[in-house]
Amino acid sequence: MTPAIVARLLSRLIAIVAVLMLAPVGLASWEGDDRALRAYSLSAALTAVVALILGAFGRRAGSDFHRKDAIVTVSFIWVALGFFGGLPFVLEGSIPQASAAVFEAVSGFTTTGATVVADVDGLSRATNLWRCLSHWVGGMGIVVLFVAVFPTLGVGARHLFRNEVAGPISGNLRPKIKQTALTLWWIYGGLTALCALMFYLAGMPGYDAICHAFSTMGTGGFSTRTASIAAYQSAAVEWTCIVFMAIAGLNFGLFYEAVTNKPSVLWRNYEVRFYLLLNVLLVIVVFLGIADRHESLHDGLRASVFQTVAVTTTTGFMTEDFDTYPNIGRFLLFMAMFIGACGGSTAGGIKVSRFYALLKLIGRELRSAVQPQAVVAVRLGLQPVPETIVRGILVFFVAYMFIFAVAAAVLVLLGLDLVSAMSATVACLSSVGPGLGDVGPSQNYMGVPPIGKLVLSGCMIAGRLEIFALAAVLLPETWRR
Amino acid sequence: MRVVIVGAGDVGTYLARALSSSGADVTVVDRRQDALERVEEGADVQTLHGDATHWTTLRAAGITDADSTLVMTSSDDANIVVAALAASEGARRTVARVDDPGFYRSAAGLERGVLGIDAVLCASRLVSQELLRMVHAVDAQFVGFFGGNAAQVALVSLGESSPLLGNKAAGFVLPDQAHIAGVVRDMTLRGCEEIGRLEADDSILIAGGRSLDNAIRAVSGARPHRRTVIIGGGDVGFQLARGLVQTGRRVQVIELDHERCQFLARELPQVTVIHGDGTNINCLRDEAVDRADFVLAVTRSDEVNLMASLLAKELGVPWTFSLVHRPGYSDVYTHLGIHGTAGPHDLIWRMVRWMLPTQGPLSQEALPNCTHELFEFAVPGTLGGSFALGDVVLPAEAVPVALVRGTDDVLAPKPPTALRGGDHIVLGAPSSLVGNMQRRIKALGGRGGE
Repeated sequence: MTPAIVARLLSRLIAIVAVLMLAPVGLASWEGDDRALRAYSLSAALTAVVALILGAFGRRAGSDFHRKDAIVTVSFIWVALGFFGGLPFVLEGSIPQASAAVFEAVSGFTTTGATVVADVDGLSRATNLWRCLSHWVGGMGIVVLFVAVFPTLGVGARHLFRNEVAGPISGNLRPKIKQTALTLWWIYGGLTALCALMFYLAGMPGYDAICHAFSTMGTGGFSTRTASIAAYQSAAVEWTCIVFMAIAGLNFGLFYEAVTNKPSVLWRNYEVRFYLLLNVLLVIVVFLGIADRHESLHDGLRASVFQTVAVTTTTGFMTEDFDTYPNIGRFLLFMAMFIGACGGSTAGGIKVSRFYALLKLIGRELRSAVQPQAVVAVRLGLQPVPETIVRGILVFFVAYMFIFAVAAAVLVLLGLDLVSAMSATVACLSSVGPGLGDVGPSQNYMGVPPIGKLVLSGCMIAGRLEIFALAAVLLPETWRR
Repeated sequence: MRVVIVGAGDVGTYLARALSSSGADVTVVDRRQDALERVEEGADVQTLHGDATHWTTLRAAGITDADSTLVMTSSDDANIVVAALAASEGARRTVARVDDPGFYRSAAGLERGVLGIDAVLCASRLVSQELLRMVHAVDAQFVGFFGGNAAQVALVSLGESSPLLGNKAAGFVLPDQAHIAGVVRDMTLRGCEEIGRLEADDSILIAGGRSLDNAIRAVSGARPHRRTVIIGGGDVGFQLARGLVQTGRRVQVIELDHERCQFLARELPQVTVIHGDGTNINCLRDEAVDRADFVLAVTRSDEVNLMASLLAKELGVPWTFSLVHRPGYSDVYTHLGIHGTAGPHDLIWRMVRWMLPTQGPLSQEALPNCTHELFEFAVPGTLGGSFALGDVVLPAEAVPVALVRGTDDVLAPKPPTALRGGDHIVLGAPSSLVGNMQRRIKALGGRGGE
């Protein structure tokens, strides 16, 4: 790893953050909100200064960079996002506690949507825009944006891209990594615009429609309203939200293939089918549990679909408090948080394709117990999966569970009850947002002690980067030149 | 530009890297997943795991949309099959690597139009030609190649012993249909007509076909170098020996394999074939290698080639050349004092680059001690009829050096030679004029001739 190269890459990435901050600056000055204007301009200026300092440090660096530089850069920028993203919250006074501000910003960029703010309605419009914008940028990834926008990063761009894009197999859509990144952003941007338009047509005000579109497509979960989507009391808004959450939980590469090649890949894909199957099964269980609470069948169905999809896509919007559901529903939703949605989507979690592969592995082991001579390849859809990837999936699962156990233990030690500690950990690790108990949909994370907030912030970043990019930074080999 | 490369070996990887960094969209196809991972590690390319002899794989790689399909696996048979299959599936510009010299009709190492494949390249022949040229070029200051190896341009300093000294450059007839393209005096390249009598400080730029050996010696007046030792009697060694014998040199080939020695002795009666180890210093001493002018190490192993070249150098051989298989090794050889190296990857890249469409000049070579550089441009194929060279308005400083027609003909760019669509023209000019020349030659595409 070469520090000067990492510094230069970081300086450019942080400069992107400063540019992004101009959006709330613009909104605040348009609306004449002096406090927000001061907070966001100061944050943008400070961020730009840090970018300049890092840029000066990395001025002499060569243009070639390698795997180690890329890993360190990606990990560092995600940690840095928490600090720079949280700066305006502290400066504005909306979230005075530093650890809470970092938690909120990390929760934003990792598209978790876990909030420490009790009264979201009371936040300034600039702050709500910034929270939702962070979801949107973090959803597809700031490094992917960087690769798409900056020219001639060369082979190193491939390592940057790989370390941020989620999923067990991240193939290239197009020959050049820059084109792949650009294509993904175009699809993502197009779907977001469509989503905002649909929200608007469904009756949301323009500002709310844009913020919620950012939040939905990033599978984040921050809302501009304390009551989340329930504040609109509109079936049209809820169904729009359900459809776009489900879309954001699909592999974005599939959309590219569907447009350029044949649309049938969208329903032929094994991962999509399994993802839909899981969702349907969950909806049935949840629906049976809550049907008697609603006046009409449609209301009950809508509520159960909304809550299920919001959890399985790791978005974390809500129209009802699922913590009040019958225990079987609560438990299955809790388990669904581990799985998440498809690889290559903006959702978090272990990913459906990995979960499917794990099930197949169990099948293979069972088969070899009764028929040891049989040679069976693990197939995902029609494609057999190489053993190296199978091993990667297994190790990822174990590492995921290990982090879950350690982080939950820390939270229990800090005084949270078992259900709250476990659900808070998985809700952050899988970037869902609301958990159960003290961190349930009607509560928030302010009650978690500062150390717990930092541990959960770490979980969110680890989950977003799929653990290994962050863990690799801790290895001494990464730091050797 | 989109390019599909089949085969992720040394050559495929080298081409992928070179093409990708020059801006092309590259897809690499191979049967070995680990080889593909290595390619991806070093180049910004897309990879496709699959057997390229299946048309579904070729379709998935996008050969019909690609500007070019390059088939570079290590198997000759597979390469022909894949390239022919790709051509029949509608791929534009297919290039295949076939190393067996027996496949070829001509000595160019290039076969066009076989089974619908646009170009079949022979790596061993390209390498042996390159090494032959290096041997011939030891008396020149500079030797460059244009028109995909068809044309050679050399810069030769006159010195005191030249027969041209005191004569006029224009009108001097060179052997092997080579011609004098210009004279470098006071750091600038000028046409022959501008210069009066030649002086000892002048350098002469000559251009010709595949062999400039005799022409270079005719200009420089240097004594011929006669004794050459070739270590390794494989395809490359065999073709080198034959080429060197044709230019009247004494050639010894040292080969380890006895059967191969017998084959060489049968096929090359004028060559002395030695059954021995080229890395054994006693063997080299016994064969008086120290009295040779050239030693060329061309076995299939890089390590043997390096060792043999170093031993020869140690024995006092003035010029040693080596075949290099692995890309990236040639700098090491140069550091160790080996006079020149040739590698199949670099030569195939040169051929491929010449065949692909490009925006700028096809190639560009700097001349030593001269402000002019050499540029190769393709005359647009849409130029109707032929076009008198004098009517092409070129910048005053530009000197036409050579005209390459097809894969073999090299012509002097003087009347009565006329330009035709698809010709390649080599011009000497300061590099600031590139854009200017490019525009004027491109503009030819819209004009008709007489």
